[in-house]
Amino acid sequence: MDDNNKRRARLRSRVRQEVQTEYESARRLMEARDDYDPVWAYFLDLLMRPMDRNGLQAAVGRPVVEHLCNQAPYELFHAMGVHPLRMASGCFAAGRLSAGDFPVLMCPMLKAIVGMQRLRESSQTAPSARVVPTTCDWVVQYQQMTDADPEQTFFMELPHLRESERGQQRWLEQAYELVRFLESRMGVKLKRKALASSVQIFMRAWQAIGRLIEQRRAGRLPAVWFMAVANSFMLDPIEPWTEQLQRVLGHVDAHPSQAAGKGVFLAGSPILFPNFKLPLLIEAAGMTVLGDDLCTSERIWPGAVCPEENSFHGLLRALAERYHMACICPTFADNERRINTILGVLQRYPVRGVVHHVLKGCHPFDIDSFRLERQLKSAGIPFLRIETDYVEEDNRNIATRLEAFAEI
Amino acid sequence: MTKDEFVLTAGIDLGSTAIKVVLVQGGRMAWQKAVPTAPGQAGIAQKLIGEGLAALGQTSDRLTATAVTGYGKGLIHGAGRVIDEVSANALGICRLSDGRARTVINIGGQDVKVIRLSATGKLIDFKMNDKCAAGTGRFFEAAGRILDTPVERFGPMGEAAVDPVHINNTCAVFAESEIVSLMAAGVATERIIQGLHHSVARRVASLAGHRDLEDDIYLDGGAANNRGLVAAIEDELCRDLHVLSHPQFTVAFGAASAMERPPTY
Amino acid sequence: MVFKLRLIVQHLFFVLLTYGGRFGFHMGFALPCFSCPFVMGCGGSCYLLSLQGNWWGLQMALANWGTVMGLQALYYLGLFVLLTLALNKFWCGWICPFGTLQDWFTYLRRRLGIREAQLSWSARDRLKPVKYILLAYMIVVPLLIAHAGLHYDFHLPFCRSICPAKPLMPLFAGSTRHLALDFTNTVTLVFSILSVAIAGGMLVGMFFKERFFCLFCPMLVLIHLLRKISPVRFEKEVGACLGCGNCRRNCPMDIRDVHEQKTDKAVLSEDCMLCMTCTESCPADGVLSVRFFKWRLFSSSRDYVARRFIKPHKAGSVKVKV
Repeated sequence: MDDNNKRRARLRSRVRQEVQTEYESARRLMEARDDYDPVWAYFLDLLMRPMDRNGLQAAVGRPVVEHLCNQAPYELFHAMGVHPLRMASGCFAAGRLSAGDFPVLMCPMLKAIVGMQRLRESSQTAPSARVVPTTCDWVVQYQQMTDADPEQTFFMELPHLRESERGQQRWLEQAYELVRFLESRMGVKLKRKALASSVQIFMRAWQAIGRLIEQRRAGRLPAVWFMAVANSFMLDPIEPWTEQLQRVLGHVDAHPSQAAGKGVFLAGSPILFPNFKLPLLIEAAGMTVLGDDLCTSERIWPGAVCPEENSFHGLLRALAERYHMACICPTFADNERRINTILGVLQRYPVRGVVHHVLKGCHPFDIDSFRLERQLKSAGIPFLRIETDYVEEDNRNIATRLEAFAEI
Repeated sequence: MTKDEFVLTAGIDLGSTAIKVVLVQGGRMAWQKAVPTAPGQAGIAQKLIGEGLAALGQTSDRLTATAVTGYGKGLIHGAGRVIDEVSANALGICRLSDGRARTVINIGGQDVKVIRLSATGKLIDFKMNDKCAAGTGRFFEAAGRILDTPVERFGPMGEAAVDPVHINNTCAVFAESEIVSLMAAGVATERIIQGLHHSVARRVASLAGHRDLEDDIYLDGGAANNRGLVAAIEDELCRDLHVLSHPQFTVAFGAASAMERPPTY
Repeated sequence: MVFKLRLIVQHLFFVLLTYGGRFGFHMGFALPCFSCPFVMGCGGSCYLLSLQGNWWGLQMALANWGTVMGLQALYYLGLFVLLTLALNKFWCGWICPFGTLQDWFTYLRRRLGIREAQLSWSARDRLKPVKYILLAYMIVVPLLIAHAGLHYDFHLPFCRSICPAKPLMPLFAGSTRHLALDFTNTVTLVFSILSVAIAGGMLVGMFFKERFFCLFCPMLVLIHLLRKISPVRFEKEVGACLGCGNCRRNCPMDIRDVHEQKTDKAVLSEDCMLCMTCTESCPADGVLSVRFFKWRLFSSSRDYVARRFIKPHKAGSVKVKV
């Protein structure tokens, strides 16, 4: 038994080392770029934080509540004085720590999430509560994958039909449930005023990121930098983050980069630092990602919170719908509008093709990509599906395809 | 179309199994040669070009331009323009088929590509296997080793088989044990070989997708020399396949063709 | 800001249409909005009165074809059509004084922090035919009076037995007489009881549900009939809609069509009153736009939503204490 523990500890420390190497080399890669500027340092610092939970906790200065999906409204957490942290991870090495316990074809992001948690278990504080919107089949198994305290885990039951009355009512109920869950775990009462103020704070971030999205679509900001900013969302308190974002906007205004080669739209499964493999390969193939529908990038901010009434109910309803209705995740049965973002970008910007990222085992995006392919190709828009895992071994193969795609 | 007789271009295809060099003069494949891939690809390619120029009685200053393509294209610096292998393949087959080809299936050393192209050789769309090399040239090499039969003989032997055996795997690793047990059961080598062709053909057919395929389908890559495989793919696709002479050199030819400028007079 | 402009226009017209007559201002007898002619000194008259009136109603035009009286009825109809074509549902969202009155109740409710009553989708759909029934009622009864010998006491059936504007709007001119019951005979008594009861019900309804009466308004139907030839267009770029649902949630009339429309450009639906609240809360650039002929009056945009819904940053803004 003792030997076993020692072996495990040894494995953990080795993986921890690998994780650190992975994060640091990804950071160095960004710093070595020609377009690096000190303005990005803040965001790169934030991107390193998931490795060190204690440090993160100290930096945000609030109790951290983890959540698994954007659909749990950030503002609710914020208004209750807790810091929402998305668990998603793009770390290849961390996944190796958990891979043996799960199906081979399981979502690599979830493997990485569980891996990161195991790394933390010994040395760092566990989060006080977890919120899991039941998006896909992998996520609903989260509880049994991690043996987390069921009392501390709240599953938000996600209706897979949004444009139905029942679906909308159900989701609003779930938002109320989430408030109750957080209130009971955190021992605070959510007040209307606090909620209204949080909505305003996040709307300011939304406004700033909207400007950055415009710059990026006009080709004035390389995709990897946009993603670095997007991925660092909520790795620091929201206000200083928004301030830094304003600095970035100033920087991009002053030093716009030139979009090189074909403009493409990146769709599909989430992409998170340090897994910048695909965006970097696209760039190396001479293309520029002008827009995306990744829920770890542009889609963190799909719409605006426009309450009909500023009452508690009005705010909560606006919040619930803002995160639910505009989501393009193919976990929803009524997801016809997913193509609209692409078409919208296509109308206004020189986007000439769509690259669809499918993480191995991400069935919703995998299945949906075929429908999207049909729709786009019939509209004469080139489409390329890249199915990949948290591995480096297919880089060459992907590069070949991207290079050819650039010529279509 | 009249081609400038004085334009001489070279195309280098640094493939995963072979390095192919083609010299193109007046729009025609004037010289070609393939050698197995080995370290020092840049030097090998340069040597091959020298060899070709000598064979054509030309000097290196007559060479107008050089293009590099294939998996190893990033390894050569300054040798010429870098062209991706899919576009090169499309252009190559277009020129070689006099603009008739609409679809080309390329079976390379470690990948399979299905490419759709326009009448002018422009790439319209393509599909390619992901990282797994099942059903590619590598697979035949592995099978050849176990069957103790050179890959070059697969074609005639496979064609001769009347009743191919069913083989489930296109994965080089798993097919190995399957072949071994078939051999142990005394199944004739010809039947196993044609079985392999069919299993690869099924994979190619599913990648190609029967529905979207336009007519005038060409097959190239080294494996296109294998008549047994061609027959098997035709069988699976229910379509005729065209195979041109020197199918292994289409990509290098396409790269060299891309460097030809239109006639200036 | 569109909503501010709308508030100004609404109140300007409320004053003009309620008190304009006292200063010699009158917009005629064929207005496509609930500017109640029972308000003494009003600045214009609702066309529904002309439509049902004994002397100028539609039945007159039919019965006295070619006479002065018939032409007069046709004149009102023509004027109504012209006015409707020119401004379409802007009459509802921007001009109608009774609509403005309802908005006051909503404002009051919001100030009191009382949650709006929610109608289920099916209930909302079931209410839709009511306005057609009311329209039929106000056309059929005068015809029966003119041609089938129905007693004259049934005249102006909609105004006298249904319309809540008749008892309520004169209050702004200081008259309570339309709240009184008319004991002349059974018909008048029943009419006046209905009228007051409906007005009472509507007061409660419009307090708890935004623009409650508009759900039943027959004027909406009449205006809607002319939408195809009106230069006023409300359009949606369906291919760029993200489906966020802001338009649906913010709609005072709980219209779902704008959100649900995925193929057709025209989204001016029956119950729409062109208040443009949806367009103001749509964060997708150019997805919703209101046009007059080819001119774009207003179009949705991310920037507008930011200006509309983000309060200016105050120094030392409230921070949530942990």
